[in-house]
Amino acid sequence: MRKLMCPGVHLSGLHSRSEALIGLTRAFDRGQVGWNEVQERLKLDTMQLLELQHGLNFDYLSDGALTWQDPMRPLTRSLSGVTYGARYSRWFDTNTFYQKPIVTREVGLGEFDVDGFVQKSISPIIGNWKVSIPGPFSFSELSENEFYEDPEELLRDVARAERQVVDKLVESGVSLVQLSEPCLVYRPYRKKPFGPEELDSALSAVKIAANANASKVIVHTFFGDPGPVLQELLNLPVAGVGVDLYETDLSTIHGNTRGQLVLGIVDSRESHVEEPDWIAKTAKQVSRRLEAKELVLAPNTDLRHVPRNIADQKAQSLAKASKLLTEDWP
Amino acid sequence: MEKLFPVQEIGSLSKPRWRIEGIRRPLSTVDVEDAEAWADRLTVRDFHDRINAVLKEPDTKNRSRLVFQLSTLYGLRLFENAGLDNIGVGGEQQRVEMYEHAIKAIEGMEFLGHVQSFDYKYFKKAVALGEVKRRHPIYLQEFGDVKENSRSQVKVPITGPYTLVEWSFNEFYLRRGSASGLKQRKQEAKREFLLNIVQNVIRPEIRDLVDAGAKWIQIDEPAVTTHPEPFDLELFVEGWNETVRGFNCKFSDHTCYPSEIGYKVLAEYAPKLDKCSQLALEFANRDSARLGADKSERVGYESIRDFVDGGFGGEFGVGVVHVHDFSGEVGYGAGRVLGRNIIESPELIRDRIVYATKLVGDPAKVWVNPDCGLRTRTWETSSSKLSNIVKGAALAREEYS
Repeated sequence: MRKLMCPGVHLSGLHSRSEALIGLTRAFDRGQVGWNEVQERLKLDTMQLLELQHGLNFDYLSDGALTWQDPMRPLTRSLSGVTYGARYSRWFDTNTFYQKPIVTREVGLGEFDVDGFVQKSISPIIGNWKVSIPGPFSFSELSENEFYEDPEELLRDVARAERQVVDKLVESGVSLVQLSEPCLVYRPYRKKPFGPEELDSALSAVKIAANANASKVIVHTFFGDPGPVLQELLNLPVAGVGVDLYETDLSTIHGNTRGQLVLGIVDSRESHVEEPDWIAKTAKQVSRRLEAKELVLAPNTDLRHVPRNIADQKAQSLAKASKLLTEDWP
Repeated sequence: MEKLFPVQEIGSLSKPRWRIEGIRRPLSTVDVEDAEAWADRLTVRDFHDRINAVLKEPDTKNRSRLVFQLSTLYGLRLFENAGLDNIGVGGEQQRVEMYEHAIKAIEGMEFLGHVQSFDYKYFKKAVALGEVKRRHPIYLQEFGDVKENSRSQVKVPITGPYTLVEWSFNEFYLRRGSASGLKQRKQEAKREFLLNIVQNVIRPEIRDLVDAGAKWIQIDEPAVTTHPEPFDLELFVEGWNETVRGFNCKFSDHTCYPSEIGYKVLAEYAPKLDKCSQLALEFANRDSARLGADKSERVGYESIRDFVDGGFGGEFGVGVVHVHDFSGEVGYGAGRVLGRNIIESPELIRDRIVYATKLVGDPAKVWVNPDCGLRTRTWETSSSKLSNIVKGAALAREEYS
């Protein structure tokens, strides 16, 4: 058994674009520069991020999804039966927006292009690649359903289509797929709590999507307290489960898992860079309440919510904290 | 009886190229020609004197000041020519944008860089690194220029304290926090940050504006519906009530583009807002573009019921035209699509006003406006939309005459 003393480190979802890339994309938007210039900078930004992770000995490498316009877009584009309009919706309680997928007919796998999900060929670095996509429950919840009379059917079809996406990503050499499932834990004010049946459907959909590649799938939750559904999450037959510690009531939480526990322990929504000491200390405290075979340190959600230099510093802090834990664990 | 359905502007207009470039470098011939063309359309009578002063001014700071004044005058005239009853501050021509303009005036805040909003759109985000204080007045100079040149009623839109806090990072107050839980510490820090902004920035600004003659202040709080949780809504109310305490002035709130949960939670808390005479809200964005003054067509306005049922007794500023790109279908007689814009017809606007009035229950409580500021539209498009709002309001008045 891998001991807790050597926690892994991952990034999660979309990383920030650099100020230089931001400047170029804005100029491109205004018709002031060509796409080639943007592409060159995109490539450089991605390579720098990969080199950063490689240098910090991250277990898995993320390309930062710098080409993605929002967390939903590549999956939306790869599914048939799902279209998109000009409607943008708020991404949970952030000041960012996503293009709302519109379900207009039966959902299935459409045209799949791995390059739309991960820029593996951009760098000579060889590593374990990680890709984050919205999980089936969150994708269904965040889409506008104009076709299915029964939302459960929509959820099931999305899960089946996502299973094929996961399969294809793994076939393409991706080592870890994160199914991001914020909707499992984000229960805004006045929204009814999960009933057992709804939770069961949601988790069944996750199981369908993970299916044969369950050992290469983690389910990450954020923007909400996982407490009410935590043990069910931890029982999922996947490689690991992630929680957002900035939304979690740590005084009441407890549970155990035979897989990885991904701790969203640096705050992607605040510019303050967490000290490695503090991360290590907090990880130890949490691990007393949540037993896991392996511990992974990660941002609570996409680091795109802070400027690039801060996002990179947070990644460095995670790596240093992992090292501290390795050295100091009793 | 006062005029029913008065029309108001709600925020910013786009800035002409000569306004953007003119504060960085001397104006080019092309810029001057563009400014002259609009001067004719807007009947800016002393254009030549003003533009000559801009062209002759060697000092960048002084030139910027003249450009700001001229651009503000254009904004005021654009609103006046369209027939608006309240012309705000002429489309906020003196502000970079609502967040950055205010933050620049606050000691203790520092810009960190850009973060993505969507696609290739970003916003510049600042952090509180020390206790916040007003460094210099934020809107006072603009208000002075507006007062000097306006021929109609004005109001001063200001960015609300909750939005300034919500859109910023908060390192200073987080460091001072003592709560044990991570979430509790963030909430504690947010409250302290907010109350400091209210006390040290917003209240001194309002004091200056009221002393300078402002009669109506619109507090823009687009962020208030971002967190539909009791903690945040209670914090918003606490901040609002502290902001307006003791001032003798009309206050209104402008909120738009709520999260998926909509306006429901704001409706629950709106009656707790002291001195909030009006809620100016976005509705057209969520409405159909078909004629009709019944529920099936006017689905975008249904949430007015939540405010009325929740006990809000003030006026409504009803958003009746869309301010972003439009890609839907337009029903017969409801308007026309020009490029990425919909120009809503006066009849569609009339139907929206009539239906909203049914829900509000009192026509005297209904003002009409665009959903939000028109800064992403050209002046051409903005003029067409605003003129049609004025015509639509006149048609609606006929229904109640």
